[in-house]
Amino acid sequence: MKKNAEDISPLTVLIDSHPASSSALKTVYDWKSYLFALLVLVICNGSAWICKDFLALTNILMIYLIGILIVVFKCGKGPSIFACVLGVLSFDFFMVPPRFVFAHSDTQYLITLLVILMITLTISGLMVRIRYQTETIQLRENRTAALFTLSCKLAACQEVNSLLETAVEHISHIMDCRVILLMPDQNKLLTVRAGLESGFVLTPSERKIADSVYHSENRSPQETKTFSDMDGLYLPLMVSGNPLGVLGVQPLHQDSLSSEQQHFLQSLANQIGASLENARLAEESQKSRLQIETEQLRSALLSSVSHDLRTPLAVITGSASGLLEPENRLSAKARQELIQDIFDESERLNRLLSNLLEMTKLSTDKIRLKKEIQPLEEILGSSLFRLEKKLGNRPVKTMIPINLPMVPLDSILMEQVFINLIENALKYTPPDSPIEISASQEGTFLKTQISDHGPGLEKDDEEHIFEKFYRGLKTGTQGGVGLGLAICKSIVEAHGGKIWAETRRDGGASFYFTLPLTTKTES
Amino acid sequence: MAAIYPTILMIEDEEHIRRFLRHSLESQDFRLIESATGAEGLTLAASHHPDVILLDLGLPDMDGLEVLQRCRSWNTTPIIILSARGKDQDKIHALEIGADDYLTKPFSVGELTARIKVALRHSNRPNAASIETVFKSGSLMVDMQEHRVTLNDQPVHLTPTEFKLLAILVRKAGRLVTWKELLSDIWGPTGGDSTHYLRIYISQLRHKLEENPARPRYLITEAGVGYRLNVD
Repeated sequence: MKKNAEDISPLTVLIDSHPASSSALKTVYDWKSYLFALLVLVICNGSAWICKDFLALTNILMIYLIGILIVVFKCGKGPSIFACVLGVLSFDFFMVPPRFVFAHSDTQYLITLLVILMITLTISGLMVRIRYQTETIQLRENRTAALFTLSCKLAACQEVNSLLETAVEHISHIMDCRVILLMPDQNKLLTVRAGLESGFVLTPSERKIADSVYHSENRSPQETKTFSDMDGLYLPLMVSGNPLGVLGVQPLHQDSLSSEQQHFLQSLANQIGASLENARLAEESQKSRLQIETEQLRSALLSSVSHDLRTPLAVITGSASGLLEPENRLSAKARQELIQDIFDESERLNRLLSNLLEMTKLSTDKIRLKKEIQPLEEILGSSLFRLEKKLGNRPVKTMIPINLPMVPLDSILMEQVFINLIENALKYTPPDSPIEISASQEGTFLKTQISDHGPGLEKDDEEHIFEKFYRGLKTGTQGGVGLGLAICKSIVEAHGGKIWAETRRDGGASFYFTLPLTTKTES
Repeated sequence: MAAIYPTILMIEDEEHIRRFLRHSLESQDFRLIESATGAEGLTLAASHHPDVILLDLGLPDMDGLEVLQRCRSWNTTPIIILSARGKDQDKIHALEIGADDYLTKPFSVGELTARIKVALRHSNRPNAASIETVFKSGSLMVDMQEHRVTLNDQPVHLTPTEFKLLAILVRKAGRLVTWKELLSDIWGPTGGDSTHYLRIYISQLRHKLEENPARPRYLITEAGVGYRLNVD
């Protein structure tokens, strides 16, 4: 019989497989079985009475034998013996002439009684054994299913806390117990991590036991048996010989847990241990990956800081010192130029720094979007307004269809995307070449295109241009850290869109990005 | 208070910023008083009755927002916030609890003087009755009394809500008006957070008033905060 793991009832796993104390077999010894045996014999007597005139006595005995065997197959030992004795007696009494008396000559039927009794006992013994084996197999199957379900559920958990919660919930369901999980905190003190809401009461003496289970050298399951007279049972969560925590179990409807159940709990505990270890390893590898990335970021940052940040600083220091020098007789025009240089370079420094800050902000914590439905036109408008000074007389052509649907976006971040893309176009194209910005709806996405009429991109650029600290092949002397487009990419992707760049056939570069028009339910 | 030169109180802990502001503002005939801490700033605001207060949000002794709140509890002097980049939440909060405008560092002196002038103009005519009835900016003309709007001398037809919205922005021309203010002014305190209605009306206004709605001249969006009606 196949059992769905979900409907394993508390009882099926709890059944103890020792025949002496088996609750399943005990139920067979009740009065109903005896009544059943009696009923079978009454029927036997009836049919024997009908057949008594045309059947030999030995064949009539067979009728009784069939009845007794039915009882043996259906019931336990007691009713079988009862049926056997009653059968032989009633055969002697009703069938063997002289009828309705136990005659002296009937003593020979004692042999019949003995033989039938022997057969009954043998068959009954076999039956009990078969029944016990079936039950054990059933029990094992249920437990395997329970273990399997647990490992499936745990594998689905990616984070330690939810893993612990799932484990506690699962075990308390299948074992009909209160369950807690204890794990060491930073100070190596065991603390309850899951399962307190079940009403598990952890008394100081029990905490001591949990501690000793966690710290003791010998942590075989038998060891913990010594505590089975306590309220709870405490098992270590072992992984390759090291304890990760302790599983505490308090049975709800039993005084103590049998050794079978303890063994089973230990295998559950081992399963949890293995899953915990997996989760821990996954977290660790995630951490180290992050560390490597930060390390790379840092080295790239250092190398770019040394050049890109120092150049404008050098200009500022140089120009300012020139202005400060009292002996220098600068013409008004020269002074004006130096001052203009200082101003321009400060602006450049500011841009570099704010991009750096933005990037660290975007990469350190997951971007939290404040999405609001709004027309794209509005964001484009405010971006262009902020760029007013830099745009100067540069022709900017905007083509936004009047019926373009509104789109959910984080206005501040999206403004940054427009500003970075437009600034990028300004930087790498001739001063008078036009910039075109258009938007259109494509299915459930809104596609924006920002095109320039500059030299376009190299094939390599198209692939890598959105990577952190990547500088295009034709950047030449233009200062920059290579973060502006990387910022665009993280922002657009956080919105669920895509960003890419192409060189158009007529030479200029086009930057595209899409934004989903519908807000997906965020996980 | 009625000094010949407008008095500006500057509450800013950064010595260098104070110096460059002092040089540039004094050269433009503003009288400047300075304070490096919030506490001193509050005392000076009470004793000197400045015409405009420039307030930095990052002060050593107390939160700039607290200075703003205490200031607002007893006077209505225009306050312009000078804030560092990337603190949009602070900016919005500051505007909500009574700041008149904000400037993100770094800013140019030109920008600052323009904002100070707008603030002074508004504080000089404190009540609605004395507001000029005709507003002009570029080719846009708004006659508040007649409810008439013209663009290049051509009349523009606005719906009542659109006009209401424009009127609020005109009344605070040059100053930043937060979404919250606009919503509650138009739809009352129950206006709530339905900023997307506002965006639709602004978009409609832009399509009627702007030459290129994607590159507005008059109705400027301050991303994440609100709108500003640009004056030339």
